Amino acid sequence: MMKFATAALFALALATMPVAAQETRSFTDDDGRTVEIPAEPQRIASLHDLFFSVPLIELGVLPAGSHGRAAEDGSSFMRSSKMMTGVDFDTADIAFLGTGTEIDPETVAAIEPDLIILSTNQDPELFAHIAPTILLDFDRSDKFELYERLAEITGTQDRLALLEARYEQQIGQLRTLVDTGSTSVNVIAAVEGQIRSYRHFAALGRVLDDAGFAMPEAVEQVAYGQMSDHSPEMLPTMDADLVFVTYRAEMGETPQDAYDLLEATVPGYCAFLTACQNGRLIAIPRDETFVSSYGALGMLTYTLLALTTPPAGQ
Amino acid sequence: MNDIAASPAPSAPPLRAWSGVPLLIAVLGALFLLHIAVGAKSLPIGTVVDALTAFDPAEFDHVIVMNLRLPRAVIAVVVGACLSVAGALMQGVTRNPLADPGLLGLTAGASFAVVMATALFGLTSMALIPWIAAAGALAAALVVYFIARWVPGGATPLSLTLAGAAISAFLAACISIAHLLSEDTFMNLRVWLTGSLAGRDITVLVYTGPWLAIAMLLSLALARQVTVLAMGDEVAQGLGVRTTSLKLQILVAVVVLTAGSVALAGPLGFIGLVIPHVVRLYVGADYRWIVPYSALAGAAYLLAVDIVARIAIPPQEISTGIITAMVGAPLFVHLVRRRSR
Repeated sequence: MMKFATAALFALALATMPVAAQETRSFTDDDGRTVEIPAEPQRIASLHDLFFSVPLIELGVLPAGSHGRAAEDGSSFMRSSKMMTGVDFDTADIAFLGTGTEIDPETVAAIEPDLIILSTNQDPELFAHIAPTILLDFDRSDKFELYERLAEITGTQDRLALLEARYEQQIGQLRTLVDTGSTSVNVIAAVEGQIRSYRHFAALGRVLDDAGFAMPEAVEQVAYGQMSDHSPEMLPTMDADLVFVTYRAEMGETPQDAYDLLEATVPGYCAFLTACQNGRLIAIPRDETFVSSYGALGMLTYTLLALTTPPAGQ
Repeated sequence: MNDIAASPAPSAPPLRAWSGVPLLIAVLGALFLLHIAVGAKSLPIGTVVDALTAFDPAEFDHVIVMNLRLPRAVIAVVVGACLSVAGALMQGVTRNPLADPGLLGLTAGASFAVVMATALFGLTSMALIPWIAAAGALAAALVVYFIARWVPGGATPLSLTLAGAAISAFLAACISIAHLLSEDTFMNLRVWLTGSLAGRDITVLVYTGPWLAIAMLLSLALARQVTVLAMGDEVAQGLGVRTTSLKLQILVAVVVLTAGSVALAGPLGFIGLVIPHVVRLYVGADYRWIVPYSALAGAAYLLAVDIVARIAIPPQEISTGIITAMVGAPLFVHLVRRRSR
């Protein structure tokens, strides 16, 4: 009985051991701050859904709490997460921490995190007294560099290597079957009276880049990994063999909404895009194309494979 | 503070005032032609003329002129004229040089109503947006007026300005809260909320145009009485003006002009504030001249600003509201300093 009581007390002591007693290591964040973080963080507060939470979930690390979005019905969700991972606030034990960049530190403290991950437009001083706080720059041109940083933080490099190997197989197949260098592809959206183009932006951008597709000259002027707004007068310069136009499926938009926006921005647009004339103006959901997700990379790779390989008889 | 609008320079002699009208019309016409001749894409002047005289919908350059530049120029003329006249009337009736649809809460009220209707309730009918904007502007105007009346001293120019600033700030906060509650929905309204002529739906003009025309005619018809009202209620009443009825008619005109403008282009600032002051420097205190001059000068000003917005950093375009604020703020400070000397 005495042995059992001692063992129980020992187990209890282990279970309630304070965070400070965890094994730690030094980590230099994107703001140049060197922070002592847990060697294997267990309760991460992720302050951006799309760029932090979704990659963490794909790496097999469920955050204890996450930033999210407010839906019109009052519920909250992590952008792109359910589509890519099946995980969201209503399907997993993840606390909703708030929307926007001004997350309430008290809400974060309530989930007792052992690590807080912020973006560089948030103030670490507000959170540093709660738990070790690091900043990651999600404005970086290659969103998948964030993936490497998150794998390093969570010690999941092995899992990342598997995801990367799978993707290499997928993209290799595309490169083998399609003459990508002589096929131009562009990604556009009509936004507030402008034509927005994306150069190697997020998941779709990475697939297009890795596959080696050509792009319109006007888009080559856009900085790598960035988007740029163009006057609607420049619509023909956005033309390519294959043009993707994006829409927000999570907001209830449909492909027709994307086409309608183009029509409202440039009446009769289809006559001035050879891609549209040839039936090569393709609407795809923006969330799947913008998320930092290896699941998205695979989906997009096969979408491109299907669209750029000739059908039977040709 | 009310002396600038109430006791400006003496009215210009009629000959001088009349002589400025053709000049202003010529400037407006030149800016209109320039607006449709230049843009992100460089077009030969012959192509522009061809597009105007022999439109071919299969030619993209013709589409640029007729479907992109021309509607935008028309909207710039209408919005510039309406906001300037609304500002002039407000400055006259409140005897407040700082009065304009933006500072007295009307623009914020119209914006708030449109944002709530479109973003939170999913309203997309172009026919309803002007009405919603008008309801928002009217509600904001009434709230500002009653707050100003409620405070000790009554509805003075100072209390109206302070109440307007408070209501504008309150409504801006409400828009921010709504933004937080539906962040992604508001992405589509981000540029509109800065005031923009890009991508505006010309069909809104079909619904707002008749009302704006009526409000503009009403403004011109009331201009003579506004001159009297600008001297003070007692003076106006002594001269036989029914001030309550007149103020009500002016309120209707200002609300319609503001709401129509917001529905067309979002909340564009400084136009209604600055243009009447510039006009007053030339034509003096007579609103029979201030109102039509404000309409012409406001239209020309917004055309010029929008040209800059479209060609400053090609191939991108800057939101027109950003340029109106960048130009309007220092211009207004200059005018205030000049008047105070």
